[in-house]
Amino acid sequence: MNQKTAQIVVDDIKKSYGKKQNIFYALNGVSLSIAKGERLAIIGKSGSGKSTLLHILACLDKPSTGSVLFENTKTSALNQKSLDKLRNQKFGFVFQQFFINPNDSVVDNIALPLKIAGIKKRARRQRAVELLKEVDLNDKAKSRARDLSGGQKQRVCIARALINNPEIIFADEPTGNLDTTTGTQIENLLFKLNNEKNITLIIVTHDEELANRCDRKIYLKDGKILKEERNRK
Amino acid sequence: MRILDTIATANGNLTKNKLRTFLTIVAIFIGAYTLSLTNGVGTGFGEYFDTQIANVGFANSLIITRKNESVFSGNIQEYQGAKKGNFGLTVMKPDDLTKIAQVKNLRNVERTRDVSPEYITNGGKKFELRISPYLDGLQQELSAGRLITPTDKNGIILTKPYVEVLGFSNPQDAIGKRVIVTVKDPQQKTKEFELIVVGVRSNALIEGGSLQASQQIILDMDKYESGGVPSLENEFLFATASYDSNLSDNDIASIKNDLLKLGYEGQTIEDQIGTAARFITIFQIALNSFGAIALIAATFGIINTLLMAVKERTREIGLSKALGMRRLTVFSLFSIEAVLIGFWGSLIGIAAAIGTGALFNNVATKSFLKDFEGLKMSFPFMNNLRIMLLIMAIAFIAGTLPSRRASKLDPIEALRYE
Repeated sequence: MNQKTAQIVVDDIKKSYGKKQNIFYALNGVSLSIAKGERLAIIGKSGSGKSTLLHILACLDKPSTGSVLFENTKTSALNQKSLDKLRNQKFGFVFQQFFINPNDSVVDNIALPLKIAGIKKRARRQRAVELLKEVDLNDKAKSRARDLSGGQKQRVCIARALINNPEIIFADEPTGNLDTTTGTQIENLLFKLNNEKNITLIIVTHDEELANRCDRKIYLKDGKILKEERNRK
Repeated sequence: MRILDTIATANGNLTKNKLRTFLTIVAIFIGAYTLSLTNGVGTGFGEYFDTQIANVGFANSLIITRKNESVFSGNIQEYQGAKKGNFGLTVMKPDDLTKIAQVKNLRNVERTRDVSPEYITNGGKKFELRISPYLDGLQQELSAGRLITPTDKNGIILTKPYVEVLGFSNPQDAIGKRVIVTVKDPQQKTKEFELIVVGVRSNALIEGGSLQASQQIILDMDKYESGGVPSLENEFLFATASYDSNLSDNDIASIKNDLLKLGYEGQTIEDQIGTAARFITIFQIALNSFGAIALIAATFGIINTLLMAVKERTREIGLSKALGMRRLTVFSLFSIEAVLIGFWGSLIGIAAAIGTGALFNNVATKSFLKDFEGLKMSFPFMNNLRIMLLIMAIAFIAGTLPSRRASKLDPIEALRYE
């Protein structure tokens, strides 16, 4: 793949914990390039380093050695403020455990990234209501988040991930806590957004079926890329 | 994040564990209530003394006595030929006045005349009394009538309770009426003196319940009481003197010093009131320290509450940080929450203290403080604001430890937290 069109370029990153004889590599030399609009699945067993890789790609964590380029900028050169801003404005996150604030309303949960960004209450609520349509939750605007079903909660999370018009959505086991039918609906929603808005999708999963719907699969084992497969469309 | 959103979010976070927040606010409430109440008492007394001094309007004068070892000091004094009068004070003679008059900056040195009349009456029942001469220029608040002028040969100023017991329907009714004061001579013979009521005084702490009469009639009474014996008539316990109102505190101190060298003690009105005010101050400090202890205990309550909140909201903090919330914002969220606990606690505490004060004033001014017109608990706005700001500042300091802990949370660790 041409490096110039790549959105993220990862070059030989290692992430280690502990020192000397106790040293443990969660990632041990991973290189990878992700194109804008690509759907990438990162597959591996627990302990394979897939979550660590996702965290580093999402600028939530820093590699011990090696470099990450986001849109041709070295993320290690950015200060904490710029990293916070980057995550807030260009990334969207979907987690297996949802991480929504149960006592807040659906709208407030969706609008959280805009609140952090400093957008006025009216504007962010308006945007949140728009997104409710997109995830098919029009009638739940006023509901408390805790009153929703699992599938509805994950749709709230997707709406939250979309509210800042992100470049990339990072999804950590997005269907892991859902039954098959609901899981499939969430997958469809994610892929639809990818199609319509050309949002890059980076999905960590151990679900082969979900991985097969992506453009590319990366298998991780013991902190290294075991194999890489490209799916036929 | 916008500052208003931060405050609103912090305020919303207060309700996440209502009972715990409530209990912490109660702790602050107790401290704020105590502080506000004691300040209300102190300020009330302060204002009362100030108006009293203003009422007396006689601030530029000294009361002078012969220097004495206090009767309570336990030191037995050698007899030096000087006679002791009431209150263990050494009796003064006219030549003492000459000596006092030499002191720089002192004017109008005069003896006081003390008479101890038998009773006062309006023709019906007889009542005990204390009476003192009205000093020219003494300003005071009157309920009715006017002050005594030098042309009044036998004027008297009553107090409200005397108006009542002497059978007048109200202060205005007493003005211009005749009352009788009797005095005994050394042979126990009684003489009636006729006085005309010219004014009725509002109740005042200073001068106690003493009635005031024209200097001329007091002189006559004094002469009769001493039976014309010059040695008795020429004895007195107190002298008064005045000084210029533009003298500095240092000048007044040097007057007192000069008097001391001559063997006299001079006290200004402020000195006399100061003794009472000091007791109030000590009382206030004691109560304030209770308030302070309550606040210190409440501080640990805030720390504890917020540490628990940080634990409970670990994942929420992690999520916010993952979504780009800055460390400073996380810190602000928790420290504003602490300040808000201080705000609500002190607001309710001060409101309760003002309520208690109003209730107290309502009851007290009708009963045991009836004779002290104007003495009540007082809660000026600036005092309350100061207490509130103090408590909010303390709460902020208490909040820094949990706030720092929250701001330092690693988002990955926090999201993994079960």
